[in-house]
Amino acid sequence: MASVSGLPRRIIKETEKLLQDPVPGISAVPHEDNARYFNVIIQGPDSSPYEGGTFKLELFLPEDYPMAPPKVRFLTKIYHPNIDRLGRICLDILKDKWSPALQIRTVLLSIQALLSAPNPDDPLNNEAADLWKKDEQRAIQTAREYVRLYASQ
Amino acid sequence: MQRDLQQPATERRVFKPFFCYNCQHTVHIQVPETEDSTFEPQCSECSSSFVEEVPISRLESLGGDIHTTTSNNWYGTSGNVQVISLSEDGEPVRFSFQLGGEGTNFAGSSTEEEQVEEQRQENEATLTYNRPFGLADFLQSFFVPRGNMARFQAPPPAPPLPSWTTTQQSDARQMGEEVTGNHESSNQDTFSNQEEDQRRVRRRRIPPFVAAGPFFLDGSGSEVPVDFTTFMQQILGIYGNPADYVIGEQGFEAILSRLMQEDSNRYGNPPASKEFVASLPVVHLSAEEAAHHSECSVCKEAFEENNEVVQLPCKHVFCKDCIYPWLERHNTCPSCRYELPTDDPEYEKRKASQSSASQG
Repeated sequence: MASVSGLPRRIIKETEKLLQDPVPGISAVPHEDNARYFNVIIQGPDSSPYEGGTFKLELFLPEDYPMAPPKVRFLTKIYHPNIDRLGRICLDILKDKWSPALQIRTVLLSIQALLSAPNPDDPLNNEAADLWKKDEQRAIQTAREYVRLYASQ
Repeated sequence: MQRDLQQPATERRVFKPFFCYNCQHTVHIQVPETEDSTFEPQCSECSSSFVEEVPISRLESLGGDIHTTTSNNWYGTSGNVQVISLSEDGEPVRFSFQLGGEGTNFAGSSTEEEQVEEQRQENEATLTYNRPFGLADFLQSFFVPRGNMARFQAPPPAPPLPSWTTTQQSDARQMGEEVTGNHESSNQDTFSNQEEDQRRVRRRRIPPFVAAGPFFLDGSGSEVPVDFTTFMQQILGIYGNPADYVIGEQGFEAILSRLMQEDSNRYGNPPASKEFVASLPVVHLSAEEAAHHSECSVCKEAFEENNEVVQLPCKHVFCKDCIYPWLERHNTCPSCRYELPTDDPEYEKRKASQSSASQG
């Protein structure tokens, strides 16, 4: 990491911990040119519609992190009521419920949990949320189909 | 995920556009799908109730002439462009103009009759432009701050102002301010000087719908070729890969919602009361206390003897330099979300009513 200078100690510590002791099913690697930008891979959780999928995300720590939340976005196409076509994630801790006691690790764990527990009552992708409520089986099938098409390696 | 606990989870809710008078822009608020007069919509960003639904159905009710297109249709567009927008009053305003011709400045190639439609007869207004109305004028109307757009203006001579024939001018005038751009030097202005002055003053103010959309574009009709690169560079003043930019209904909305999301300080609780924060005692940790509290949950550093810390009413302890910047932004304890007093009367009022409701 060339740009470590000027990087807050907390970010360095978090990064070291993530690399040494990664969360199961999640990898987060800082970009070599920008230590605030992470390439993230989340494995679809078992017994969820996303099982077997490999999802790429980007995570960026803004200048005022940890006073402001990281910015996280799915790069892999995903069919999920709380994730929109642009990969933006509807997750309270990334918005109004952010706390500086949270960290990259906890954010990624929350996103992994969101894959296990889609919440169609608080939709970001209205179409997916509607189908989730009307015909959950078909919604899950669609999510699986997306995994097969876009998130399989 | 702002969950409204008072609403049963089974009730279907939909997002509808509202204009928030506090934030001064359009927000999308989740409301019950079925009409519910008891439901009080609150701004999703500032929680203010001073919101008004944007009657998008009025747009739809205008029927067949509305076309929504993807941004691709905008690229290299030519011919007739129809734009439908909402005025400040939320009334639909429609106008159309001709694109193409005149080489690189993309001024309109023909005189186009403009129409502002309203369902009610008394509000019907018809505008007639007596000059070609160019894409540059239209784009200028959307870009903020306008001063920066000066260098992208269509080349001189400045065309004359449109003359307006309206039966009722409220919405038409709003729109007119937008579409006339900076060509106020015209001698064909049909307004009196006084009116012109008023218009000039009002033009400085950016009407909410400029920042709010929604608008609809349709490129159809004649085959006047438009060089997209020239269009990007001379009109928009942007260079490089056009794919880095988005134009059109969906792109515009996407950029706006993106921009709104970028500003993380817009979210969450208000700052803690300055006076209250100043009254919080700063203490030096004893070796025992340092061991007890282990680490500061903000900087993740282990506490050491003699560290200067601040204890919140919930008993959580933080480094002085860690907690102050946070409380300047939000009034919650980083560890347990305990809410400190704020200087925000609206927020305090809501909090009081919520706690009394939960007690009763």
